[in-house]
Amino acid sequence: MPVTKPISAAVQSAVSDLLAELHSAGGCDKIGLTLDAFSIILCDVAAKYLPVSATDAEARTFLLTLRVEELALARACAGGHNYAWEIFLTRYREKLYQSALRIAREDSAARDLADTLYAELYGTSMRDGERVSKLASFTGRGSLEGWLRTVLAQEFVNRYRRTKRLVSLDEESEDGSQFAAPDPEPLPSTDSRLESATAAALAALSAEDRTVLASYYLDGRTLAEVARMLGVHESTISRKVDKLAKLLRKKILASMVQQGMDRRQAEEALEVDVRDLRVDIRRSLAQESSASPFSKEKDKAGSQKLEAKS
Amino acid sequence: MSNVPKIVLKQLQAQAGEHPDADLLTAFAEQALPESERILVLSHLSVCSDCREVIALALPASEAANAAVSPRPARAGWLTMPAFRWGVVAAGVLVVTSFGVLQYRQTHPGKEKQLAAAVIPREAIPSAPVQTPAASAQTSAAGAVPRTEEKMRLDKRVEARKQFPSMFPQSKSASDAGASVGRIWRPSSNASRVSPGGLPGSGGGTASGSGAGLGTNARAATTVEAQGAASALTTSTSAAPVSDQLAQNQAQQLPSQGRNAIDLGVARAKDPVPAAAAAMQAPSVALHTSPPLMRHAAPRWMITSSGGLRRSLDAGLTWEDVNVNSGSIAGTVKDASGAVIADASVTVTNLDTAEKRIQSSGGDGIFTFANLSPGRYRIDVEKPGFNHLVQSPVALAAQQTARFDAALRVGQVSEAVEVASAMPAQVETPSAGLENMKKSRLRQQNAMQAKETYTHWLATPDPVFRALAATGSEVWAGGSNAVLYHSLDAGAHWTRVLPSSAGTELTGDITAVDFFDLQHGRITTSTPEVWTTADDGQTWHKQP
Repeated sequence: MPVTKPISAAVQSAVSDLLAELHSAGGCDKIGLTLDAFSIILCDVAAKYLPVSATDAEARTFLLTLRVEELALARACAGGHNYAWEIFLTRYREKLYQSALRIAREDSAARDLADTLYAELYGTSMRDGERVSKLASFTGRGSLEGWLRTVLAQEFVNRYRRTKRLVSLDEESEDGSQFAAPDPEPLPSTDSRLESATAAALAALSAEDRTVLASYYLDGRTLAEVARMLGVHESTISRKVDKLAKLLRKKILASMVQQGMDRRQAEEALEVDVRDLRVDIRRSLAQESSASPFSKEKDKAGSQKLEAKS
Repeated sequence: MSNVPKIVLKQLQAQAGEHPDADLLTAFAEQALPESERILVLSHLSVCSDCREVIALALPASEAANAAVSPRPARAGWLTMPAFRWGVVAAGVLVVTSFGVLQYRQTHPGKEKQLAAAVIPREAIPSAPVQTPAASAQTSAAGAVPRTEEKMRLDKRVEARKQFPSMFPQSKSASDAGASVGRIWRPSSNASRVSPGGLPGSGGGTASGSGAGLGTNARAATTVEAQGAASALTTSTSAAPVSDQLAQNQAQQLPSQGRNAIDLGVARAKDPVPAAAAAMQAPSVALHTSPPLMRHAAPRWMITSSGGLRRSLDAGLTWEDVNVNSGSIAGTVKDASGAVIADASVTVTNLDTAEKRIQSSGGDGIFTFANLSPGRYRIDVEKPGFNHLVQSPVALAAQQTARFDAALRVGQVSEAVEVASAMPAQVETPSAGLENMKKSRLRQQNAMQAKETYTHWLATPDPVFRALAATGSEVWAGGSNAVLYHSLDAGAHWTRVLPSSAGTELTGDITAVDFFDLQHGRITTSTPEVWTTADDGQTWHKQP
């Protein structure tokens, strides 16, 4: 793996301090990783994630939170060590396929997905005449198992979601609306004051809050799913979504009022939505056609009134 | 849930820059990122639906199942939970039944015994009552058998019956079968019985007097032997041989009249005097004469001088130790593509005693080592053409089944692949909490767990047995300090039973276990107490 960033002195000293400990903790001897090789790996990983300004203590904490055993295993596999592969396959082969099946939700697609990943893990792609295994990019920040799932999910999203979301017939009949195509029509251009007010209100939120909102409202995930993504309890997310929705509305209104809109105008502007508009138009059209005789009479009556008046 | 204005959604949809790598996303999902990095990932997630999708898809499986079960929080009260609902129902049934039983007992004191079977077992809180046809066939007296476990037990027994077909005559009801087949009893058991406080082993002689002249073949298949403990101490010095002979004489006098003999035994059972106990041998000894159908397949049992349990599956030629706390190791041998490998040699070595067991995987790649004493094991899987796979150490707790699925890779047999782990992967049940836990903590926990089980079984002394009863593949073994173990499958799996009734528990040393058929049994203790059951040990009653 090419070193992308210069390695700071702090990182180097931390690595050399902890090297022996991490090397034995990672069980590197058995899978043919020498101290030197492992030292290079650790420096790479640290350089990748730590800012150049990181202190010695920060570098140490960082190194100690790495999953060295899995990191060593992955890198040994990437280096083509047979024994490391044995361990890897024993531990993860079954899990990998199960994860693929859960992600793809269909056997042949899952097999395809898992096989593709295997090919990448073995390193079928060549760079500078050398096989490059995807495992060489594992850095031990999370578990290897979780990493494999994530890589599978990324592959799946790249492959299927971009083209067309595959829906099995069962799922479609089960809940057709869930997979309805997202509304492709752009929103109508809105008041610039509303735009800026919304942007300000959103920017004031924490990244986590925005993620919650996006997951719940845009992606249509359930509260439970959002909760699991963020590792908090479902009820926390439930309260948070409710609170955020109210807060946003209040904030946007307030800032628009501040910018000189009156309260009702601001509320109307906030509720403008292309779908609402369309529905309104259709409804009003329907009303018009059915009400036309009445309105004509009314018009007539009105004109008669006018005539009488005149 | 209140909605957000549409304009908010539009701005949320803005596109993101570069995606965080898989490592960061994984660490994020596993809560392993420091706050500064976590915020960076979150701010990307807030604008990148692809990465949100990746995270959602990559969530571990067990939690996905939970999420599927409860997508929205339950809003109603606690009574809506099915467990509570059934709990309330079960509690109601229990109250009504026990009241009915009490009433009935007061009015019909004599029928208590039959009722024993109808009483709901004391831990019958769980799920909905299940009426099993098999159950009613088995227990003539039992009206309702409410527990699903009970059904499983019965199923097991039916299976066992299939395994030992010769054991069970083609009779209509199970209890009839039990009665006619009778119980296997060792004639010499009174040796251990009459020495309640005695130190077994001091005599050391073989006290298995066995029903002399009763037909050696028939006896060979059915006798349960007991060795040692012949020198009965304190209470009755020479009682053992005498009562032995007594039993034999009675047996000869009562040839093949099993029924009468049993009745006789029951009649005298209330008398805890050792002499009467000798008479108790009669039914079983008598039965030895009758059942030629028990000649094959029935395991023979004996108690060693040190109170250990031994079993012979070949009519007494070879004996093996049986550990009632035993666990088992099972799994499947597969190759890298997931295809099963038959005839792979699987060796399980106890790291503490160096005892080895070898087995070949079956046609479906499955191997099962039952009856292993708890401890640490090493598993070797070998097959020509594949690498030699080693898993060590595997910690096995008492009565636990450890699963180990071996994935062999093509290679030289000489190439050993060693997998070091505290526990086999399958034992560390990945639950929601564990999955998110940092690996180091998980590893530590596993190691601690393994150590705990290890020290636990080291600290628990092996039970010292004194009495046995076996009917076909069903075995009861009782011993010192109220230990009572029960096996439905000829000793492959054991469960400890603690008889109790009306708040009192069986105490003292069990000196005799008598089972007259599959359902009806009696236990005599050194205290002395007599406990009976009419439903195969589900419920017990202390004799006044």
